[in-house]
Amino acid sequence: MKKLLTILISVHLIFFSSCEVDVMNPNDLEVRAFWKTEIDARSGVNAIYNMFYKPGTYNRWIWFRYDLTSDEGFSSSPWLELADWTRFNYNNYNFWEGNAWTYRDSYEAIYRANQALFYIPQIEFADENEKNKLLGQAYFLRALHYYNVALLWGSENASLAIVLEPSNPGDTPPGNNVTAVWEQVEKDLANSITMLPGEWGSEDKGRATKGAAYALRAKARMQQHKWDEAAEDLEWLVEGDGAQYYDLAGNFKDNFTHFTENNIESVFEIQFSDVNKAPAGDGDFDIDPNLGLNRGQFFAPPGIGWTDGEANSWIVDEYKKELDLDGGYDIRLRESFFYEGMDDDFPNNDRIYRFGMDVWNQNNYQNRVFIRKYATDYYRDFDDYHSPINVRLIRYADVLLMYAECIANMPGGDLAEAVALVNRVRARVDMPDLGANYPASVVSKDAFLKRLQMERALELNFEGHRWADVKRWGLVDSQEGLVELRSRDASFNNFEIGKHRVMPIPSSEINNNPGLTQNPNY
Amino acid sequence: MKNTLLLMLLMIPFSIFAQTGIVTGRVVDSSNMPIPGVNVVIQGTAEGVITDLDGNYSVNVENEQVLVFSFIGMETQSIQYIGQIELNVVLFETLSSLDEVVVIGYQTVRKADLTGAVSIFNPDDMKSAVVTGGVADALVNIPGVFVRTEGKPGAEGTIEIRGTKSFGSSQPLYVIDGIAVEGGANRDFNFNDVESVQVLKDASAAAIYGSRAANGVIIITTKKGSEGPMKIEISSKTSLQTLPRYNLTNREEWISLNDMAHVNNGFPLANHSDGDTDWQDETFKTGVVQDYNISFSGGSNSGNYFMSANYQTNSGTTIGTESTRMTLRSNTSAKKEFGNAVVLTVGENIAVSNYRIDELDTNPIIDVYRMLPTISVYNENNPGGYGYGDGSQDVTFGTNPVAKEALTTTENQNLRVRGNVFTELAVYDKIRYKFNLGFETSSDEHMFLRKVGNWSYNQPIDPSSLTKNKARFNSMVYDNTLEYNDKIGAHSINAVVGTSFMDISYEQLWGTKNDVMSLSDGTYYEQLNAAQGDPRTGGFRDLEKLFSVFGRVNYNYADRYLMSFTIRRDASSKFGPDNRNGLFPSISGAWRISNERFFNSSVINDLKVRANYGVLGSSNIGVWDWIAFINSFPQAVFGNPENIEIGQTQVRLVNTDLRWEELHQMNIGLDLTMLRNRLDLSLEYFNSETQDVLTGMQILMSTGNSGGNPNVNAASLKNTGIEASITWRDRKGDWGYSINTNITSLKNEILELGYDREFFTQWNTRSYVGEPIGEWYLIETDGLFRSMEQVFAHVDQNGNMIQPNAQPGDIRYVDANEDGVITDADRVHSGSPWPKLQLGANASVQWKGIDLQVQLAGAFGHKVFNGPRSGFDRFDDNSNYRADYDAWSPDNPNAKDPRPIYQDSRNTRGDQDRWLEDGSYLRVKQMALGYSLPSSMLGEVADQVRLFINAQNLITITGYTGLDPEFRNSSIWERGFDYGAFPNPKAFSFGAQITF
Repeated sequence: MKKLLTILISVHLIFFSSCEVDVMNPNDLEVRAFWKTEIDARSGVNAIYNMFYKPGTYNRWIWFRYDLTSDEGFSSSPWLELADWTRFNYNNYNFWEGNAWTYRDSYEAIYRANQALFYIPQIEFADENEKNKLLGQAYFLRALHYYNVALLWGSENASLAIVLEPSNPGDTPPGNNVTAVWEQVEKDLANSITMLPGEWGSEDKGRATKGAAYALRAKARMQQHKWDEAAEDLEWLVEGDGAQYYDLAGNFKDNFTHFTENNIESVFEIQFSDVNKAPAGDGDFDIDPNLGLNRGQFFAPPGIGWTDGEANSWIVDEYKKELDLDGGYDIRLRESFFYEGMDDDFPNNDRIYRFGMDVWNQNNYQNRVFIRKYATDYYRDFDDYHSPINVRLIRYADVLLMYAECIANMPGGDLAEAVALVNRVRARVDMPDLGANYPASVVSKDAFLKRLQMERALELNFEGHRWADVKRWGLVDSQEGLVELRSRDASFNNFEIGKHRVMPIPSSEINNNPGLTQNPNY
Repeated sequence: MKNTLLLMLLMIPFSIFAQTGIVTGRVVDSSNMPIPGVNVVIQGTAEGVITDLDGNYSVNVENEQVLVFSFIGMETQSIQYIGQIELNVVLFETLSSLDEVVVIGYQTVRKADLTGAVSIFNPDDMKSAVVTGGVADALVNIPGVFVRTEGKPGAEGTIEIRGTKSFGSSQPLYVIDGIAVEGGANRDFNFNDVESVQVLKDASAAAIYGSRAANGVIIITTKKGSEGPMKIEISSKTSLQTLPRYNLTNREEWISLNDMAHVNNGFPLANHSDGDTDWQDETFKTGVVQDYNISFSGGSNSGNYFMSANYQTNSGTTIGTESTRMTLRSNTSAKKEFGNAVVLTVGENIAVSNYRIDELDTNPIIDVYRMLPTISVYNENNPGGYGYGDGSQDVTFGTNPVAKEALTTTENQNLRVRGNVFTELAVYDKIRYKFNLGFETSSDEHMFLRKVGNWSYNQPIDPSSLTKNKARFNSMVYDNTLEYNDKIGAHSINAVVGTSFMDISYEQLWGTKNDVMSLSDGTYYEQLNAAQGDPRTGGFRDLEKLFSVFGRVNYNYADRYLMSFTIRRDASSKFGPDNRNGLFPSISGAWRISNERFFNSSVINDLKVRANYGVLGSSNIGVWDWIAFINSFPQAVFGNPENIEIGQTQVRLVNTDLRWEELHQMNIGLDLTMLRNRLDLSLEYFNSETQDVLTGMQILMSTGNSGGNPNVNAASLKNTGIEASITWRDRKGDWGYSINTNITSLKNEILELGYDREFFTQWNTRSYVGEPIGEWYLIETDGLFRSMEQVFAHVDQNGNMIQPNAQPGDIRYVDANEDGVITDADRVHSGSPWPKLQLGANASVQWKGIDLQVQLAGAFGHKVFNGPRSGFDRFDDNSNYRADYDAWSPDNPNAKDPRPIYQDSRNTRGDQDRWLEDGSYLRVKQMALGYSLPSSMLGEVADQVRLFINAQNLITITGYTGLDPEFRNSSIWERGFDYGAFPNPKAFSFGAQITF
């Protein structure tokens, strides 16, 4: 009996001793074990580039914010809320696809850059230069995303958070006005400029360069109307040390195919690839995520894609006002749009993906103009979410036209120099000099600047620049400007001056962060 | 010699009525079954016998002594001996439930001695119905318990015990045969094997499960064999199910409304497609559920056995889904006595189940109204051959459900072995040591096949793909308990102390490839070797451990004063080393007033009041949530020619100081039994507060967080409630009847939201501190504008029109904040999704061989949002419409509904209150009629044959216009939102049960 009890109790005591409940995660690397080697640093910076492949940024929705909201494009999508957010009908400020997704993805990219900028300085590098090149890229990418944030949501109210360190869940950063954000953009780019190389080896094409940093800083400065300082930046690219890297590509079309990528005109180019095929997702936890461009699927004409975006017809009309040096129409019209009569205006121009010209008889095609830039119709007869075409975010033609604009805006600027820059861009597509059809614009700076607005549209339409342009030129701030915009795009009938020049901050951010103030009149 | 014989002959008659005699007889129950083990005791003495296996007994008794026949669960009978030679007795089941024995966690106690709130569920309530989901799906009538189910194969319901106490899962802890089971008694579990279910609702009852008991505990005991010859039970049940349907337009009615919508916005009429399809006819069908069960059980005085086999199929109430399940069970136990003092018992309970399901790939409840009646099901011009509209005719972005179910297949198969092995050593019946080893291992297979083809307009053309997943789940639980039971005079003590160690691992491996080969008849291969391209693969493993030490002491003085004290300490691997221990104590007491000397009532049989207070814990978070991880999935493209580089970064933010949630709960209860044990009344009041609630609180997007909000111990919730349960049972001659009604009233309140938030907005609901979770905040509507004068008259305080673009026939919105515009800021409190009152009732009547059961369930006083109706009331985007849509037009100026306008959202904004409806309902869940054949017909072969029919969910009294007011939405922030939830089907069941 006693023996039995002893056995019982000792057996019990064995189990009473504390059992270990520690478990090691066999699946993932912990943060505290990372950021130790040069490879870690490189991976950390690669992850910032990865944000380009997310729907909130250049993969998909940012084209709606920049191209469709501007007077170049509009949306007649049956998804009404989506279309409403391209025509200033902002009802639910938390609308994910129209506002909040881009907001979140921009800050997600900024968070990744902040991690790199925080941890990389502590890592030992064999060559300090390599470390600087990585830091320079992180500064550039952070600046690029803050540039978008300022452009889309920056106002005189303290509505924007400027986050410069890795985040913690409970963070409620105070709000800043747009001027403070521009300052931060310029500061980051100043670092990039010193740290980045002029060009990369062939295996690193796509990474940010010194020229890209100069060009982006020029854009930021131009938005603030700091023409002199912007001109200084652009000078490096056009006349200074940077000029050796750039020129205009021989063929205009070479900027929009995947056969002619990273060409001489490319200043900053986002690399897309279809290596990860459908059904590759774009989530943060997808294995072999989608690295392709979605835009084609969203803008393709009816029967090919969603047709959530299309062009206003004034651009086609504008192109047709002039003939090129061979007596034909501006080749840029052919490469930019699908429109009725496209086969009459250019030879061998009678296919829209797999459809022929009889589609113009359908009432879902009649009187409409569809976007052709970044469409994959040149090599296949359908479009999808995984297009391999790189997005030339900044190309040399843009740089030249920006330089012309700065010069013309500077009191001491030489108009002839500015005109010559525009003519260089025109000459590439065989168009006559500006003076030939627009004589007023070569003698008066005001006339020139007005004509330059149209020149930018002809060269750069649907490449994500128009919204910045329209804001920079003040067209959204005055009644005259608004009248002009309305004449081109009926969406502006809903536009309210002083309000719709920026989007509302998502309500969840305002509601949950007492340090932020909503943008004016929202 | 002759004289002796004569004397003896003369003696015989006297011996019949002699002073001392032998009585023999047979004891049976009300259905004439013999009862072995009945105590036949001579009153006032210690002499007595026990009936044998056939119910026979034989006892020496003296004249005028009283024989007392008693047996657990039966009414004791006392019969005076006046010389009978043969005395047969019929014992009736006792009406009193006080002697019922209840399992409460490592111990069993009498119901009468309970100091906590425990509800008992009788599986007999479901004897005429098939349970296809988890065990909890059947717990409809338990006070304080909220159950919602869905009608598709494989669906497991949501169960919430005593309100929403946390923001995570409300899943209670399941204990099966003494082992706490991580996955719960889910759809693999054969309901026919259930002997009893106890629901532990409050702190003292559940405290011994401490850290996982905050959501309540459901204790399931499976059937065991009882002493006697082998008993064979066969049951066959069939259930025919159909879904309720929408009342939608047909082709002509649709075209007429669609044309009106186009005209109202200046659009040319659409080119209508040629089809004429009733999508509900194409997609919904009658589902057949079949359940066949056989069990063998029996035992001797040293052991018992129970074996069962079950086969259940469900053909689905919609196309594209069906399930099949097979289970086998074996429960055995045996004991050996060593002398008088020591008893060793060993036993096992093992169940093997194989569940195979073709899962639903669509949401047909939504698809049937997104598709248009003018679109044909098939269209050979489309990739895949199915119709879904095209851009030049009627366009919709809905999914053709016939197409998607045909083109995609999702299949899951689980093979699960679950059970426990135990050994117990009892010494003098005072000390009992038990080692219980629980194990569960399941092998899960998943397959997803996508064939080439489209089911929706403007879908990109994707290649075929095949994904296969294999996973293995292992769980081991080691429980050691030491029990001490003693009674000294009027004091009795039951104490238990023990440890428990749980070790869980889940590992998954998956692979996927594109371009799957197929035969010319359209059959696709289902192995990855037969797919041509883009191989991708991955795998992961989750691990979890929990170690606990616990103890409980129950003290009982003279059956009058009862006290209980419990404490448990847990350590869990889900938290960081500084936060992983939790301590959970509780204390309770009860006073049986009816046993007091001063208490003398002929009417009241038993009166007990009880109170308890305790702390429980919960940790319903992921297993790695407190650690910050680097995500290695990002990739980026560089270079000419292009190459892919890996990116690594932190994607998900984390709070590393996560710790246990703590639920502090207080409960007061009263149990009353009266009128000769025929009336039972039970009242409870509870008040609980959960602190440090683990919640994936929404954080700012400016943090750049992605992958879900990080868990944080942020919030604090309060739940209070009142439960009342009344049961009346009686028997008069051949009639027996019982009625049970229970009413629950629950209220929840947010005490703190976390990160110092005042309120939290989720879609159409807001959760304010001091108010219940997820209340409706919508823009108020005030009917239609019926004339331009009314539009002009709708002005703000400055005389400016609030809705300047409105036309007659448009909705008039209320400018609640009087700022002259209708915006998000005009949302006002519009109601609560939480019912004020929940009701359950169960009535049963028996007369001879007939039994009738009626079960009711209801909830009242809450508002629900009819999601589907908000979908088909929009004309801005094509979908089907209501057949009873009463459109405003100049010819119909007093119409109920706004004018339809194509491509215009002014009347369809999602945050208006037009679709908020009263969700109150009363539903007859079961109306069952059973007939047991009389024993004269059965003869020797069978002991019982019962046939039944049952009408389920046929009658529902409600004002809700959606498909099912009892819909399931498990999100606590949007509890009252009917997003197109799969409704509960109406069913007609029938079957038979035979016992040998």
